[in-house]
Amino acid sequence: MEQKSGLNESQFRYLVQSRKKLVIVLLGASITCALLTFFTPISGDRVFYSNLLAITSSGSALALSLHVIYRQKLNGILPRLYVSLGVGLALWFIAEATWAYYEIVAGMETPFPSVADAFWLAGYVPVFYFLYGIVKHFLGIPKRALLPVVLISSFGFVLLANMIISVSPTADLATQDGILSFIVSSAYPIADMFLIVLAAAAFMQLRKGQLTFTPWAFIVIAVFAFIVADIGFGYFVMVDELADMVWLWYPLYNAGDVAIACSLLWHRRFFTVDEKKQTKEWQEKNR
Amino acid sequence: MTDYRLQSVMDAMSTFGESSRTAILSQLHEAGVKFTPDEFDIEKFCKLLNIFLDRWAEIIFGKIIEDICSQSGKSLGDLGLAERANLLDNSKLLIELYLKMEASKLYGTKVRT
Repeated sequence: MEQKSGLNESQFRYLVQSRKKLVIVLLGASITCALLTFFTPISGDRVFYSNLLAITSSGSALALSLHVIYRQKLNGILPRLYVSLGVGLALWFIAEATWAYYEIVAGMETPFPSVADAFWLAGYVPVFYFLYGIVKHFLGIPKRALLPVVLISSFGFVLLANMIISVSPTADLATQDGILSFIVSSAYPIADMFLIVLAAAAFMQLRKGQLTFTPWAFIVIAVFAFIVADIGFGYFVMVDELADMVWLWYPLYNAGDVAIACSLLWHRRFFTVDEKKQTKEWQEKNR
Repeated sequence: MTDYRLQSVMDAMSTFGESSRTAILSQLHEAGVKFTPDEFDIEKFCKLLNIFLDRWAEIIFGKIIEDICSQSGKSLGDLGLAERANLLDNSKLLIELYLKMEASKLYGTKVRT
């Protein structure tokens, strides 16, 4: 039986169910991360749990990325772009691990700025290259998509400028450390803005595809989560009275990582094949 | 004998890499597209690929059109489709091109090197 969408009923139902499952995974994981981060002081150590959650969520995105790379190999532009995404996720994972080391092993409270920030900021380069490559090689920006992209990016830049202007009076720009903190905390939302412009451009053009809507919606959700978290984190770090509350933003980073993992799960399921499994099935059929 | 139009379809699908090509072909097959010269339905293929991939499908259609023209040694102008190319999106242009070549039997064995 053919659906309105043109797909047969079982295929359409499978796609809808897969989408629902991923939304449940994202919501479930995000709520769990938020609850554990907010309420662990009652039963344990927030620093330990928040770092554990960060490493787990970032690690899950990296692990899925490696699996996608393993399946796709390196032939073709798209597989190579996914390698670039994998490199970015690996750098972000190293950053999480470094941050965890500073907090748990070295006992530093909110080690910002630190070596971890170098890894985080370096990770933006390959992720940017991934999004840029997708838009350049597979999409382009047609005129009809130009207006929404310009609107989204303008809104983002206004928000960003507002945040930097509002933070700068509270920033300690008299010392070298203060200047460095201000530069690093401002660099994140600026880097996020580059990502969101490209992610939005890709999503605008792929949103009607039954196979392309979900992974790109998750990428956009992830980048939005990072933008809000980075703006909030940057603001809290700069304001002395709020500096002890930066952990409030951690669940958003976790949610962003999980959203990327969900996008990769979808890509792995619908855009890659398990060659070994296929060969085995073929051998069994032809035995 | 290989209908090079179908081979062009396969080649264009490789734009996303071998693994993605197999995965997308499998989805199309499940939706009812048959990839044999006798049973291949270009209209169904275009419709479903659009449903699956949105704008990415247009990129694939563009590559198929390029490849078919290159294999046949004829430009869209030679085939009387130059004006249509400015009016139609790639999927509709591909369907017209495919059917036009079908009608005039302008396709044949693709020489693979």
